[in-house]
Amino acid sequence: MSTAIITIKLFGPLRAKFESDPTLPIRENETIQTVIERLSIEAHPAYLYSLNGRHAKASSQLHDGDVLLIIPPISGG
Amino acid sequence: MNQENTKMANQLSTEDLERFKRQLTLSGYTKEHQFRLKNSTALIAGVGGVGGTTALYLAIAGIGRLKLVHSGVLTSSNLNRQILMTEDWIGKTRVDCAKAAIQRIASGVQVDIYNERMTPENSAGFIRDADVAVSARPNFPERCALNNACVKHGIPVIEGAMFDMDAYMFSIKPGLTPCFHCLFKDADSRWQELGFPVLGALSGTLGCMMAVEAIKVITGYGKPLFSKMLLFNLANMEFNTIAINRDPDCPVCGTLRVSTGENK
Repeated sequence: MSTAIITIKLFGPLRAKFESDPTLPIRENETIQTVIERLSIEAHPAYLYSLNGRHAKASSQLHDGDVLLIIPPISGG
Repeated sequence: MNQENTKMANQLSTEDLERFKRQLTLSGYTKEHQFRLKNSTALIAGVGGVGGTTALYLAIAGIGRLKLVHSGVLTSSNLNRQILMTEDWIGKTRVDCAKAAIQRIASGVQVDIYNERMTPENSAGFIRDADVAVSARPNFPERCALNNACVKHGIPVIEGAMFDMDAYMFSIKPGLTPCFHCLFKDADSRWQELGFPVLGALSGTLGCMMAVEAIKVITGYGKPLFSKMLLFNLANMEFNTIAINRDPDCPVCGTLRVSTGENK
């Protein structure tokens, strides 16, 4: 059985944590929240999540091939 | 074009028709759209790298009136992005310089200026007679104050922000689309208003795109970014559009419902 893998795209200030968009093998019942904890990203209630181009909640379950976008609020004007 | 539209289009002056003839040949853009723009007011919250560019492009497109809200004086470090500012204005209030710059280029635009911050107390007054608001202040409290007032009074908002080489934007139609609070529930206390990295060409790109959105929302031309967010990174030239949802429990707009508008 092949390992399920997701791609993570980070936005704004989070982008600097990684040199490129990380891919991550996921475990059974993995959610956005658990991925954030595994990446050691400091979770913030204001973060916006998009899963495969759709608005998602932190509790959304992840599947092989998913593309997760993590968007912190920014305010540069 | 019906009789009323014909009457409106006829109220464009000969000078208007000459000045804007190149945009009047845009596919689907009519004299009626131009007339609506001429008779509209945009509230611009922030005349920095983003909002200043939006204001400039709304002015040269033929908007009738701009209300510019921005507190503070010009510093040298503003000049890498704030396209309405000039070196000789350092130390003076920015809204005055913004007004002078716009009226040098588009003297027919009425420009009202306010050397103030957006607050929960004053925002309703600023947006009262606006057809659209542009949210471009570099901090969350002012963005929230503008959002909350616009939702309450049914004024559409063009929301856009940037950080480093990233930017996002979306348009808010109160009661129909997510508001700012639906998406970002708590301001990030780690945000430093004067500390974000910025290249002027990026903030200007975002400002131009927000001007296009404002023109669309005002005139009914094209399809605004309702219930969608555009994200882009200009270091990699990556563009993404994602769907965004209203929060039914949003304390700002959760109970608000409106019928589908013409720009959906």
